[in-house]
Amino acid sequence: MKINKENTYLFLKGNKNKLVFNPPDDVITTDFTLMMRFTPDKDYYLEGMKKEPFFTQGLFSKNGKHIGLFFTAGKDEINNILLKVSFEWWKKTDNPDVDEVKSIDFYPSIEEVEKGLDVVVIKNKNSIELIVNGKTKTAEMKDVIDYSYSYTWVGCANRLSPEYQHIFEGEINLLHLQEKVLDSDNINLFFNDYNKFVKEVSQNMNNTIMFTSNFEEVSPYKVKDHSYNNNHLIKFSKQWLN
Amino acid sequence: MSSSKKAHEISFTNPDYLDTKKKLDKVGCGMCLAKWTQVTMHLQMGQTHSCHHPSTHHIPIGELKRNPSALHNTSFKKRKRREMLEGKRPAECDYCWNVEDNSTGFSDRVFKSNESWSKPHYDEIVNSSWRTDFNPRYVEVAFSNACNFKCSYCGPSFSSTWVKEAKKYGAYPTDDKFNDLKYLQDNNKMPIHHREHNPYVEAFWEWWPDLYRDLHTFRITGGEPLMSKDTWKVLDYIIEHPNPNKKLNLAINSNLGVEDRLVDNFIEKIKKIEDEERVNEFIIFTSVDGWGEQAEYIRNGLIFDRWLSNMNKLLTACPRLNITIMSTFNSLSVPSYYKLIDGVYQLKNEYASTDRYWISAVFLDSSYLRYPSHQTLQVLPSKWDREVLRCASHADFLGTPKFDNKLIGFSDVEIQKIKRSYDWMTSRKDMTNQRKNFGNYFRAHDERRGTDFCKTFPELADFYEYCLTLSR
Repeated sequence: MKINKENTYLFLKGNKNKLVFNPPDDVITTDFTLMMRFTPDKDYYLEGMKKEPFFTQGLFSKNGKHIGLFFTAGKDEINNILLKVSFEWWKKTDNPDVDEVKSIDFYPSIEEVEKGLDVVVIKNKNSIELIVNGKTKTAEMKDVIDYSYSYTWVGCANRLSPEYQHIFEGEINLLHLQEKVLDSDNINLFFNDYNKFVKEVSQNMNNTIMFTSNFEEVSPYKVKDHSYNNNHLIKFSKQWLN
Repeated sequence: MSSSKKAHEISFTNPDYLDTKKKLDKVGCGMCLAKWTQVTMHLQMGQTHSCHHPSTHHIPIGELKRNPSALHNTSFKKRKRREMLEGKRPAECDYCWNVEDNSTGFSDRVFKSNESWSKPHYDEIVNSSWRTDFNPRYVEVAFSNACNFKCSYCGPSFSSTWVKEAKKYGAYPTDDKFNDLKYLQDNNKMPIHHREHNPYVEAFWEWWPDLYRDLHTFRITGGEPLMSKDTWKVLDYIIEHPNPNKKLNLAINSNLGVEDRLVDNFIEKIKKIEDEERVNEFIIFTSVDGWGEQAEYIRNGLIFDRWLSNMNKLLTACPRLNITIMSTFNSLSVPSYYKLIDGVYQLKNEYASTDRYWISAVFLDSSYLRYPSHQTLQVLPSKWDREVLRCASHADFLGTPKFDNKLIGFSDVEIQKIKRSYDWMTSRKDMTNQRKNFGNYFRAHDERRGTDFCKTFPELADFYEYCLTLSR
């Protein structure tokens, strides 16, 4: 599905219709698996690089001091285009007034990005693993700051303030979020046979699923959650802010 | 997760309700304004009750002769009002006492007393004697049981077609002898035939000019109201009145399965009332509990395409009209309810308009069936629970976020009522008897009516066969 400034999403806080079993509010602090297939719009990031040397777009993020999955386009020291997929977060330090930004990064080629990227983020105890098109990197992740009051956004970093919106432009075609570590067989199933994955993993109420979608079923206001969690993504609207 | 438990908790801090409860409790712990302000009158049976929780009681003909408002102000009801004013809890209102004694939430006596048709009359009610007659503001009336349908969960009290069947075949072979006419005869609830003189209807018309002036909401139920001459008389009265009650919220039930000429006449009357702004709002309540031939099986007499065509006809011809679909969510609804949600959404999309009394032209009001117990959602095996949850989720997906002013999709209330059905369905206990009755009931249903359960509900065929084995 095309994502742009007219079409960004968030998970609504609260549970007004009592349908959501697993709200994503605390997901970052527990073990989790996040999977996404996306293709950034090349013209958009090339244009963005003219305004900002490192043009960052939010794919999946919690606002505040951002945590989440980002795509950045910039140039290296010899002026070559440098593309980056990163998972960023802020950690507490010994000084209660100072937090420190951390990230785990991948630098895919322009060709790879043009074909689309399959990205997996797995948090397992104090370790974070970023997998981009099958290649893995791992880092330590602990003492993460509190994000329980943040909104969870898809296709941007935050639409509530004029700054740090980091709106993504391009296609997001798959997204899955759940507590706990998903094994590699099921990760492969998600990217290779979505319908089977929904049936076997996302509809299994023994798994703590938060969201699964291939972005094919949409209403004027929502993207349908194909998991049992009924947590349909809500389209952001300025009207809502008013 | 602990958050899912949290999600089911409800906050009871609404200041309006708190204020109303405080005022009611000042009079007594059993005080409820609905005993004065609301009435449902089943004139075909000579029965009345205020609020749907207490059972109906008989209206003595002798009282009507002296006072036609005894259709509401019966001496029985006045004694209950006296108990309320004297700080007692009438036993017939035990539904609310159970809620109040077993939870921290408000009971319906608070909600009903807080309604705009109740709350403004608090002072008048608490300062009057229990003997005083009071004109209700929220009135529901059934003039007769004349009806061309015999819905599977309905009965002779509300359907003349059911009376015919019950007379021909007797009770259904369920443990509770479903729709046994003897029960109605023994309890003085046998409906008066719609062609016979009905003293309760006569009293209604005597009372009506006085009642009409004060009405906030007037709703005609049945039977099928469009088959009753009294419904047409009410419409003509409103059309011809030189000084109509323009604050009136008028609601009429209809199965929308009557002859075309009746639907066309109905449209003409609605248009006149709308065009001349003779009421505050006009709502039609219709019913369907599933989609297509499955809906037809549940509501015997329904021709689904005709119903849908009449919905379109009414919404096209009457630009201000709203229609609420009262859907009795029962076990046979489940396989096609998802489709019904999609169908209702299409109607909402097509007919939404700011010209209407409510912007959304159509509402889906899903209430789960409680009786007969052999046809409730709980009868189904638990594997069907997820389908009901899927329906609630789908309505939520097609829902309207609070921040949008187009109000085209499903409202929170519509969604929550489907979710409530799921919650109730999953609270089932041992259903062996009800399942045995399910098998016995639908076997007899197919024999009497020439229907074919397994052909109509192939998804439920295995379950039906299993139910039949329980009575062998």
